[in-house]
Amino acid sequence: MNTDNKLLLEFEKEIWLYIDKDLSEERIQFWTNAISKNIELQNLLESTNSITDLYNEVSDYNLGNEIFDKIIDKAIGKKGLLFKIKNYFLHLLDQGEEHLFGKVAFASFLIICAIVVSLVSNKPNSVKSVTNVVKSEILEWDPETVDNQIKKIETLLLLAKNDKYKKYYINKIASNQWDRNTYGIENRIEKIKNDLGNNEF
Amino acid sequence: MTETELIENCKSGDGEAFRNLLNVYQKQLFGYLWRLGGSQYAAEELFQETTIKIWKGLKNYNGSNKFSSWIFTIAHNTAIDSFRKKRNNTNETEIDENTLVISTETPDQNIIKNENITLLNRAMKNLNEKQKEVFLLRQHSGMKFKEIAKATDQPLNTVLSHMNYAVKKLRKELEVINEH
Repeated sequence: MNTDNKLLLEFEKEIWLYIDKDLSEERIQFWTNAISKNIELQNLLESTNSITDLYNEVSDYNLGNEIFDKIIDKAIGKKGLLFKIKNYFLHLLDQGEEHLFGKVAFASFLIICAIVVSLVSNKPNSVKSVTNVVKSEILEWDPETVDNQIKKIETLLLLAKNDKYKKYYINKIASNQWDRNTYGIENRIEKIKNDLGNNEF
Repeated sequence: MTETELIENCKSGDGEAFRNLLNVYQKQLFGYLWRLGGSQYAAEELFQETTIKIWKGLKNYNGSNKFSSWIFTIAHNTAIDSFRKKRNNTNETEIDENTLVISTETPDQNIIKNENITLLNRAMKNLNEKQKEVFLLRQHSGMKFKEIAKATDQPLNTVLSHMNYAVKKLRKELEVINEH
């Protein structure tokens, strides 16, 4: 194999690194010199660049601003409540798998069903248990009776605070006690008389 | 605003900064996915998936590699994952030529450009999957081959080899088509 062919094969291996300037300074200088002196190397470089240039010329892909904006809006979660909710849960779980949202949605659905069933289903009558504990007089609320009772208590309290009533009440108690005591003494005197019989003092 | 400032704003949740950031790469990114996906519809789907992954991944982007390399790596991986799921379409990407939008100045230029597109599309059908991946990634992302090797998880020499074969095949096909 002659020197030129060897050089060509070697350049074929490094041509892209040369184009990228991704070789050492010395190596880039080496190839620059070699290319300037060797027509085969020049042709190879030129034909390689022509293909990539042609591709770049015809590559004019246009997504369109409207579609681009929609795509960005969806990515950042600007539109779509479900998308925001999904991204929120994915962010919380720090997972990127889409099926996790399905699991969370299913679990939420079950919880909601449980709540609805508990609300709709028959519960034990709580009124009866209340009536067992609380008297009927309270449950059968009669405002007039209750009001009268309250007034009576208020009156008694007022009287209790009144001095004359206190004296009267004390006297009444004392008088009742005096009557009981005198009655007791009379009974004893009668008994003594009976015990002594007909004997006179 | 610089790209770095836009990225920082995006990390804070600024959606408009994200729009401005990605707008710079919109054409190249979409073009890459269009060429890989084979149709406008497939490219839009891939672009949507890629955009979502970029938005979510920005919080972890630390600037250790170029932003363009980073987003194209995401685009590449998204496309490859998608093709693996739709295995039947991987090797048969019929380019939808009618959806190409050509912006040229004169009708004659338009005709020439359309002819070139047709020629190129036919030539690209002869590339295998790996050759096409490397060629498209290089053409659209502007990544250096060391970065492409990292993005595609292949040795550098393998990537260079794919690119060489891709360009040789395209050159040969275009010569053959032109002769006819």
